[in-house]
Amino acid sequence: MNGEIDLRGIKDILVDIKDTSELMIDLAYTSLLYRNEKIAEEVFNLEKKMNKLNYKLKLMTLRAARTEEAEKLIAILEIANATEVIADAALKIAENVFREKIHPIFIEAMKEADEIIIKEAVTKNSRMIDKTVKELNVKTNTGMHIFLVKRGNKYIYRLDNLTFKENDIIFAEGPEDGKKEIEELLGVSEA
Amino acid sequence: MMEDEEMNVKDIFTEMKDISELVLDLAYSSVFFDNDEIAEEVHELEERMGELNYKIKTMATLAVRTREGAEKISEILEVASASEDIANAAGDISNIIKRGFKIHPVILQALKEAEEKIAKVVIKENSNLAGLKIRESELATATGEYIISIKRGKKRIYNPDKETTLKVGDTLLVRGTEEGENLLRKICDGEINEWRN
Repeated sequence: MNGEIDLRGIKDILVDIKDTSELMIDLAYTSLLYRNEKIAEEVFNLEKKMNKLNYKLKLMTLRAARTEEAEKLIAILEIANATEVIADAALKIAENVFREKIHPIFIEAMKEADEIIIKEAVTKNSRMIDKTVKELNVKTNTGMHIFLVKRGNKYIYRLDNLTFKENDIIFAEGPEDGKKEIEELLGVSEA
Repeated sequence: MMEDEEMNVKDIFTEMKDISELVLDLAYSSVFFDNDEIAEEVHELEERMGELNYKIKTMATLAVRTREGAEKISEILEVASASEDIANAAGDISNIIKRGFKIHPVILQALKEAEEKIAKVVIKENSNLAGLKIRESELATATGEYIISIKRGKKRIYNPDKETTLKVGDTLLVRGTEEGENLLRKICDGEINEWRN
């Protein structure tokens, strides 16, 4: 580790902070829309994770300056800073969950936004059961992006290897037209 | 877009939320394609967000008459200002391009490997997409690709609405998965003619 330049490590962290910052925004709005404190807590946890990743990324980038052109590395630091701001903004949104009542304007606005968020259960007849997000190609087939699954009392957002089970609650974001498609996949409505 | 005078708190808030999502996609796109024009649009959206945030604060202040009302509206204001923060962060990302920084290849690699990928596709002459409205094209549900902007000649249409008609020669900036991108490319090339349900 000492003194080694790890470009692959830098790339991996960049991918992680980009994905995580976007996930945090989705989770933050979702926590507010459904007044869900547990989801808000996930945002808090992810913010801590982001801080660690950002620190690591900056350290690695500074180390890389020994061999790489420093000018080309500045952009990495800029992205690190920006994603930190985004993570803080997500935190600021999620913190509102702990207020007493949600403002109705908020819910109306979320419904009218270009991209909507839905929350629905996987039914007994769903084609999703025992399959992963990848196998189902959910995004390509429905336009909806599943970013969170609730199983029992647990919230899962690392979905790569997760196989769906009956009664899983899925949270998905996407265009309004995608709602029908994903409901068909969930077995809520017949195609 | 509505005239600003006719907008209420909800309309402003909805626009702010939409911009906060769009602007981040655009910021990453400007870096990925090293594109000044997209970076400039990010800058303009950032300014629009500043205006909207100012407007929503003014309206809220005028509308509130009780303590309870003030508490309720402050949640909206908090979230509105957080979405402005997101736009500002997006502005910082696209400033990489505006200030002419060189981009290290690891950044491009990372943007390629990220969960949501950005791509550019051109609608060719023999594509069945040409002439369809976005709503009719069913692109989002059939390919998972979301249209961030359309470049038509010198004009660029951001966050196009569903009634926008797609034309031959349009360059679409899209966000989605790799499979979706491949599928969309074939549709735009006229290799796939049937994709709708």
